[in-house]
Amino acid sequence: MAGYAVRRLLTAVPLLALIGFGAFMLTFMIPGDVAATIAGESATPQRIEEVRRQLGLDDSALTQFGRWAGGVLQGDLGTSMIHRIAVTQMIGERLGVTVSLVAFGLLIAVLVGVPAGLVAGLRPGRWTDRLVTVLTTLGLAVPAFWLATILIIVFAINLGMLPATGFVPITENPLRWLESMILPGLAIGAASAADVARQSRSAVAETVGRDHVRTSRAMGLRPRSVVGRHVLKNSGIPIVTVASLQVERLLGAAVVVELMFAMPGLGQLTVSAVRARDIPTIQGVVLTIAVVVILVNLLVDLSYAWFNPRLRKR
Amino acid sequence: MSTAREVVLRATGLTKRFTTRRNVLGRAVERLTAVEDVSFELRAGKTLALVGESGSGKSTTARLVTALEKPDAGTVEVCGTEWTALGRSALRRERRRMQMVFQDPYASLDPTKMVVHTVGEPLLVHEGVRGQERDRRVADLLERVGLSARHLHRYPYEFSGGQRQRIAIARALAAGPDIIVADEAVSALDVSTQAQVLNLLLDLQRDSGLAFLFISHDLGVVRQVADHVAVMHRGRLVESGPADEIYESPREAYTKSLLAAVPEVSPSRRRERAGLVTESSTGEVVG
Amino acid sequence: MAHPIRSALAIAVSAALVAACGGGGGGGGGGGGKGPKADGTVKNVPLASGFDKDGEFSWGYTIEASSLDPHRGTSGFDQNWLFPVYDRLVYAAPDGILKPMLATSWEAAEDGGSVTLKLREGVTFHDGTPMDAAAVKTSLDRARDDESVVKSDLATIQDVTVADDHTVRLALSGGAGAILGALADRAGMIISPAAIKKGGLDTHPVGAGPYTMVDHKQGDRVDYGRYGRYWDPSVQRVAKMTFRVMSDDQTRLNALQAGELSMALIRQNQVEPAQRMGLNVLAGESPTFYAFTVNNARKPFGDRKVRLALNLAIDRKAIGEGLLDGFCTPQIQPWPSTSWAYDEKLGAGLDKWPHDPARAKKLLAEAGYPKGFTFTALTSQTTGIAAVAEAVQAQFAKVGVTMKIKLVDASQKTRMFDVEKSADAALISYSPTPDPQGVLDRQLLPGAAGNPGRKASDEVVRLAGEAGDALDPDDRAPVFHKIMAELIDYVPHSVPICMQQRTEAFRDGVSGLAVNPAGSRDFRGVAVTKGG
Repeated sequence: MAGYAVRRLLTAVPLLALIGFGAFMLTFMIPGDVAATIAGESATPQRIEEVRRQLGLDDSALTQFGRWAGGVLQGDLGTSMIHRIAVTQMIGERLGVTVSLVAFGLLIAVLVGVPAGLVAGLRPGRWTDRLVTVLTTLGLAVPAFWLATILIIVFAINLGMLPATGFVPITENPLRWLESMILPGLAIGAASAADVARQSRSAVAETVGRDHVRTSRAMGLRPRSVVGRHVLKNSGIPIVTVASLQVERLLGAAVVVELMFAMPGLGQLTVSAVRARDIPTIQGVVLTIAVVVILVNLLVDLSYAWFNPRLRKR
Repeated sequence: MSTAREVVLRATGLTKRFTTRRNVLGRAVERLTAVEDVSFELRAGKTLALVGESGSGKSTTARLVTALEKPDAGTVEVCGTEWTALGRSALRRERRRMQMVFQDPYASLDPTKMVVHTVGEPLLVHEGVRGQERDRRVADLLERVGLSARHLHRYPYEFSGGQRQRIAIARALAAGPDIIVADEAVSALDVSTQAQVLNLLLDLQRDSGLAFLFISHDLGVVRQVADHVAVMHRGRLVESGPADEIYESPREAYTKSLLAAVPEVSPSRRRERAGLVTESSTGEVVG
Repeated sequence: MAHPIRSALAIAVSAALVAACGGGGGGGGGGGGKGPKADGTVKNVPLASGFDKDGEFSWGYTIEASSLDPHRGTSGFDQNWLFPVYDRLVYAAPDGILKPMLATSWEAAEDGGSVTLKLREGVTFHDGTPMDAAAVKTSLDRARDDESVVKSDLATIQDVTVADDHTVRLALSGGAGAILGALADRAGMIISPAAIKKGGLDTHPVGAGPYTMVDHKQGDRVDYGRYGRYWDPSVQRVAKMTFRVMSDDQTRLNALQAGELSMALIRQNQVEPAQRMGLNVLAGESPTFYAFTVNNARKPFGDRKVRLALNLAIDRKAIGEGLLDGFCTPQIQPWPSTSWAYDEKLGAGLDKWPHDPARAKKLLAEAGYPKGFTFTALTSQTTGIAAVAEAVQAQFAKVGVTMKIKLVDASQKTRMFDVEKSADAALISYSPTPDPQGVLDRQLLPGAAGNPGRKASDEVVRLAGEAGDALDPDDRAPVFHKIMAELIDYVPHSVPICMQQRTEAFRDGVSGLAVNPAGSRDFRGVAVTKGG
């Protein structure tokens, strides 16, 4: 198992290199000029050219990529061209926000989605199943920004129960962290909860129809034990798969939700970095997100082995 | 096998309808009658075969009999207790009397559980047996079905189809039942494996006086095990009686057509072949 | 426009007057205060009597500071984040008048070759370093070095010399008046020399302002706390200030409504929604304007008749009052009416360059384009300029001129229009410099970055040199008026469309506010009442 994990991580290295290269080239295709931004508004053309030279922007894209990649290999993601702060430091400060947000969204997705899918899937066709189907359709159709707007108006502005903006690090004040996470977490997690519920429902419905589950019921096992001992674990792979896919969906939705709730996360950093064509920052964020996604996928694959003994032999 | 024994299972007037379409309010607008007015008896130590084509209502009958579904009408009585009248928890306690073995050996065992847990589950549920005591009891059960203690800590995927059905039977036995409902229990196996499993069932019946409700579409297989045969067609029982009578002189046209479709129904030749293969082996672990 | 204090500025300001001015340094003191306007917005909020000395003021803004280092930050909006921390040598009061701050008085040499500044005594930076002439020299020298983004604001300074502990002399190549305006902004922010030595100013600013930076969360907020040894405690009316980054427009309104902000920048189209929510709106002119600019070295823009025709084709009123709901004042002068450079007699000047499509067509025919022509203008998606561009496009179409719009971002516009000179025209939002002279230096003169055609009226070039020399705005204003007259005649490559108004919403209880004519957000002297 450990060997498998190590092999998987090693194969991730060329993938990361490819992603890094792709992102670099894409950034180059964005029209605009970071040198003109940095030189300031009153800068003369000469000054802008000077900045270009200083930043090495007059080198070819490949040379610049090589320089960046060389730094990365030494653990140096470079310095933000705009903010003049180490990219690792900036990402470090922002990562907590986005990780909190995605984790909270995922938590909501799983805590709401799996039980809902279970209730629906255990008794397909019942009113509970139909209710869950309607709610999941709704949940998938409603965009995060719309839901965020409604949540803010109702819970922050009208009821004044929760903050409309901002983020409090969990290390600073866990209670206020929780308060600051609830609305954005709900806004970001609703669609994921719907997706998880839908997939859980079909996985559970399929498992419940299996002979071994029927046998266990016919044998006199309590329904709760049937679910706990047989249904959940056998529905595990599709549920974990869909939950892991949510990580990517949530990372995408985080961009919008961070903006709406004024949370200083990676999404916000990405938007401002792309606007300013701050190449080191864009690259750093892309790489960080790629690593997160790769790690999540690895964890998911490892979890499959727990659900399916057959896979443990690898 | 000739004296009249005690009735362990009695089904009376079982009827079941399914809703196939609902309106927007969820009210049923179209129903299908799956089983209608089905009655039969099964006596201790005997095998009753429920035969019919797929869709004839056999499996629904099996689910009604095992109380996995509630009939719309009719009663099920097991060892003198009317299951259809029991509350949930009382029913759960009674369930050990009747166990099931299903058709698909790949679906009938939980793929995530080791044999010891699958077979040991009834022991845990009904007797609270766990730990070494459970391992010992499970090992005994495995030996009774022709497997051994070394299979305890293996997963279903490590076994062949025939071996899995043996495990499923061991699990059924673990509850200490009076009746085993075998729903197409050998249909998915190749002919030689079928024979081995059938022989195992017959041996178990001889040793412990189990009653079998044997559900199958395969009249050839049924011929080898059944004492009584009940033929189902479109949800109803069309003919029933002692196996020999049904095979030798079927009354209903439907039964005749079923029999005509079966190659090699000669009992003697089937037994011969079955006997031949039984000698070979009890099956080895593959994979 | 009578400004009694102005004349006093030419001569050395007495120490007694300094104290008085310093005390009134906050908003609400002056400005073009006209009270509530017809649309329910206000131009200033005088200081309320019962404000809370322990109060907290929070403000929501669209973009964060690119850096908290006055000399290195690349954004033209960084200074808003720096004002609480950094005192300048000179203070540009809300009424547009320059008042003492770290410099208590200043005097220009007879020949205009230098300005001597007397510095306030007993002032210390937040790190305890004393603010003296050496510190000012260190700071000004750093503001003029090659890496400085404010270098061009101080381009006329040849040398900074320490005359004594509290006197510095700036040797100038001219433009003594313009330099004082620059010293009231980013370039005049004085940094602790010890902190310069130590480094880290990008995230840890150390000035001599009324508030110290307490915390800085990149991309989120800057927290400020009252500086206990500030030289003028009377402007430290709140105990804490927090500036927050909220790039989404609706988010800022939400935060205001939820009571998470005291005040926030809002868009012009949010004025009504904000008022309906029970928020107050501050609106006033800023020196930021929308302008149509061409490269007059490219055909056919070298022809004055073509430039004039396009100018007459633009319906400034329709854009400023219609499209932009009256939050953009249609005018042809590149200075707001609150600026001393503004020519009151000329006013908006819409009679000089009226909307006259018929005459525009005639001029085009005379110039050899009876059927009009086609060109491409660059514009950016930001700050509503795209909408202005579309309106201009439609107005040009009416005189037969086809303007294609190419959406680019600000830096790309700079590259294509200013540097590569590969673009015909651009619609821009001109961001101001501290001194009105900036419009000339950055837009209109032949050497200006925003003048890729390098052509300008010789008379304007001559007058521009004259305009910067005088120290007193009263002396400079007539020169600016002459420049404006000459511009009207010449029709420059860049013409204003309308002057943008700055709009901010604030909660009840916030007072001591005024719109700063320099366009920056300096909340010096802001106050809040309890529960406000």
